[in-house]
Amino acid sequence: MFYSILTYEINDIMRFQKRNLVISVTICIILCIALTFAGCTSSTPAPVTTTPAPRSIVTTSLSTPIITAVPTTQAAPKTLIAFTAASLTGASDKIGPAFSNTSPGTTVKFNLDGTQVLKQQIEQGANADVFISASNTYTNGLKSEGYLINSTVKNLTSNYIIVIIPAGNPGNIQSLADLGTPGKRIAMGTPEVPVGVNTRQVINKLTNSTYNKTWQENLNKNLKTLETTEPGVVTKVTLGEVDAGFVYESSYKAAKEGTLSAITIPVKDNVLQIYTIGILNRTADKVAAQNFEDFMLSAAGQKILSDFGFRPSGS
Amino acid sequence: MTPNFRISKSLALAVAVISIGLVAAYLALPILALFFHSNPEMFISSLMEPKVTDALVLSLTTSTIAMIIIVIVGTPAAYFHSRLDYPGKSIVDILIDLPLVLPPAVAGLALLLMYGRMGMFGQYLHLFGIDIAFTIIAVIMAQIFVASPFYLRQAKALFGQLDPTYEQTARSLGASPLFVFATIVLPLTFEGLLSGLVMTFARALGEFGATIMVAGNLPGVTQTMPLAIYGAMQGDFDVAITISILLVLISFGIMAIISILTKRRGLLA
Repeated sequence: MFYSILTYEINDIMRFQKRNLVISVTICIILCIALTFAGCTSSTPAPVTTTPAPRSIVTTSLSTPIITAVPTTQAAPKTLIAFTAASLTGASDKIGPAFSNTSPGTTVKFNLDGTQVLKQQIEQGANADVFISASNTYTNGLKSEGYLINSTVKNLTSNYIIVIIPAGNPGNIQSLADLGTPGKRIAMGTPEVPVGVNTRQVINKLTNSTYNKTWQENLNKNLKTLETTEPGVVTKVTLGEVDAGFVYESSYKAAKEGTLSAITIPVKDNVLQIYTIGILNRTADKVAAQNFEDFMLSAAGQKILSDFGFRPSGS
Repeated sequence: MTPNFRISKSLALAVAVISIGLVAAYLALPILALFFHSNPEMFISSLMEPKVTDALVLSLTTSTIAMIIIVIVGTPAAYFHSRLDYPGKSIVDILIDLPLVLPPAVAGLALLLMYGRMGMFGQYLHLFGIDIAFTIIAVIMAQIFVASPFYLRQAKALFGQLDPTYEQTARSLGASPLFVFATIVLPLTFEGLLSGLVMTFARALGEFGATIMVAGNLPGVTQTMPLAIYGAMQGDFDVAITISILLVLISFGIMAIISILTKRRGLLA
């Protein structure tokens, strides 16, 4: 009985629609087409217009004080968005409050992800003030594409690659040679994430200097996961789900006592990753962004980085 | 009365056209954008890339295996669940629905803490040299976890709607339970079960969050199509678009199959 009522109603609606179906469908199609074109025309020029706009502000701000807006905005609390390489996740917890102490009223929000992801997000129009990159390649990419104020791009800190091993050494890995023993479980970064780029360079150098192709092939067969961020590798090792992982030295130095052990890679076979900091053209508040960059480069900022195991950018 | 009715009728039509148009446009336009961003040469050339073919083969294989396991275990479970009254039945009902609302990342983490090498159960398996995490088995387990409700819910509902007197009659005439199930229950619910199954397959194919957490991300081993899209987004944008288009085409085909199946069954769908 319930069904019969339902079918009656549906039939009624169907009859009602059938009469006007042609009109409805036509209107829908027109609407769709109109929206498509609206979408196309508004989305294509948008990035073109937004990119030069901040750039013009920047050039004028150097000569004329267009930043007169700053004193008025200083009263209101300000938030900077720092697109930051994920390997600085631990340090960012300390950097944020420390910076707010030196610049009262300004807070920093960190968007932490693999540098390759951050670069993509900036290119796709994400709102950011500062870019802290773990890769010169990606920094230079954004520089040449006009997203960064090139004069503000500075070396921030640096990091070597290291092999970490979980507590208890479940894979019984005693040396780098053991990584090429069949049956071990190894994690590293993807070929895109900076730590993964450097890991592959290090493995090639080790293959040529100390080990051989078989070692490298076995090591590749031992890979269990390719992580898109450096902390992703650290987590997989800390959980003990893999026997070893290629990460930054800083992650090992900043790890809790007893959670990880490490095998260092000789400096001649290692690759020093240089991190950069720079201000984005699209920043709404260049002064605050510059303050943040200055803080990061200051003794106080460098102290936090060194506490978290990073090396000075000069070494 | 009549003019009033006419006005309200045309108003209803206007609202219908605009609201349906908005829904259709909102859902269709982003998908169209994928196609506009691609072209046949780009699509074909990145389709040939090993990471695309590897991901496609892996996704189809694992989703099929997940689907088969769900049918084999899920069909009797759903049947007896709908036919029996037992303590804790409502809790089982909630458990069956849980993966639908649980974020897949939570499912992935839970699976890792259960079956990982240091996990609650995984540590014992590890003693026998069996490791599940970061293998193709973990991919399938993640897919089963998130996709099973689509089949189980459908099967539960179909068996529940079925009048048990058919089965009772057949049983009273001496038919074995398996014979009754195969000749009465299954034919009456077949198309509904099939559409639930196809939905399960589609969900398994699209699984991302749980997979990346428990199975990792290794091309050719555990990198399914959604993971390959995520990976390619960070390097080769064209590949990401190509895999996305493939998934759209597959999903569209799946929904078309369901639509044909349910139309044949009329209102019961």
